[in-house]
Amino acid sequence: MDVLRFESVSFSYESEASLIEDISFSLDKGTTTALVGLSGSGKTTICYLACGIIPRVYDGTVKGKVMLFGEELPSMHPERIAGKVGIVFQNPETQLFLPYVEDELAFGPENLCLEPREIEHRILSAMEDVGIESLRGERTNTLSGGQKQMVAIASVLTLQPDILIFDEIMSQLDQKSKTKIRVLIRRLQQQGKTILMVEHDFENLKLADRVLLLDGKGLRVTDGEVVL
Amino acid sequence: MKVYDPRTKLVVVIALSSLGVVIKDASLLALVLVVGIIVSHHFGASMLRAYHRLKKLLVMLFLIAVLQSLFNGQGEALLVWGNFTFLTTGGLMRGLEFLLRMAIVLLSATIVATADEREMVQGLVQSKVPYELAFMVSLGVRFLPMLAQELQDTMVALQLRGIELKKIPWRSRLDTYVYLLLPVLVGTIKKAEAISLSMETKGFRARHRRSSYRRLRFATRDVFWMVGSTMSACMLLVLYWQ
Repeated sequence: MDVLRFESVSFSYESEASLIEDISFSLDKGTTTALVGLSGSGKTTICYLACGIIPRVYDGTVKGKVMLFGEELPSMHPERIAGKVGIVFQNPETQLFLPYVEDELAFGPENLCLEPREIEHRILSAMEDVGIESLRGERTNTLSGGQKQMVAIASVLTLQPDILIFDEIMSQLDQKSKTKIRVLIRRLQQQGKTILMVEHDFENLKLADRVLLLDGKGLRVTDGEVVL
Repeated sequence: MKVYDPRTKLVVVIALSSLGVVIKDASLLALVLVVGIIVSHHFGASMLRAYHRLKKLLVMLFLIAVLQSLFNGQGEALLVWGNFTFLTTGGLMRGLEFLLRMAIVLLSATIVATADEREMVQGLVQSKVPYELAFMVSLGVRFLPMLAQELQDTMVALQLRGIELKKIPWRSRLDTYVYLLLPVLVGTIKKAEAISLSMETKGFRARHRRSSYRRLRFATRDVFWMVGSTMSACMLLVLYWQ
């Protein structure tokens, strides 16, 4: 069963050339898909379309359909999208904006107006999943880059999304932190999460069941083998 | 040290600074300052740290006070040179009042600074201040070090290209500031955009209201301080106006 589907999707900002053109693919539940391609090929645009940032935040012309669990994504309420798709960005610095780790984890569930007891449960669960229990009371500005990225992932997990989008989340991390994130991704795969990861690092592509290559002419499915 | 609700601190600060602004009598201002010092100490504010942080500002305030004292025609002359009266008792009092007033305001700031920022935001939210507004204030405060870092990085980048700001003439220096400020501005806007994207994807403002994971509750001592400070300020003002 596909949880996210792009049907001949094109996108361009007003009066500019298309950033992506006629893209079609789908993500099956519980699978991990890697999206690769050169800089400027439209990987991040696909991520933005998949989580509703486009067209909610960025205006432009979208052609085709982005379907989330069988519904047209742009017509869905942001609250419902947030509960179904979570995105983690490249730079951990700009994803943490609250003073303490636990505040950061509570931010999403608070926005969804959940009860404090439920929020507490989600914080504990996300910290356990990511393995950052010891960081709960820490100030976010004292954390290392790797720890910050772990907290950013945990803060998305508190929304309990079915689909996780990782937009080059390891590109700014050291080897030790990368290893930790890879272990975490494997754990999330075992939990049945559907993952779309934008990657440049060939080592990380091993985590994917399928690789989609954006080569400027469109999207090519390479089924795990990438030849550039 | 007792932990106080941030709303209590806000009420105390409003009472103190209102007195500082309204009263125009040096002896009464001195009294408010002494009370402020005791209260600030009670709330755990570190005046020594504040002094070290605000040293430059204090020097500037002192210079402004000196300027305010000079050339004031009121009262008896204290310093006269030829036909010019430089300092009078009225001028001296005016400068002193200014210094005391600013000291009270700064003291109030040290009390606010003892409050945990997340509790302050929650306190404001529970006081019916819209979350967006309270959150933006807190985010703005957190943005300042980011901005300072950005400025520092750009400065280093300029120095690495052989530009030593302190050693170039004023006119060229002004031109260089454009190269300094432009990347800082662009970098800051980009960071703000990235933060807002991250917030949006976590459902920020997806609903009209949001819940709060933590709730602040007034203790008896909070009520005592809030009522006490408000009543004391009102009484002092009534006595002053009479």
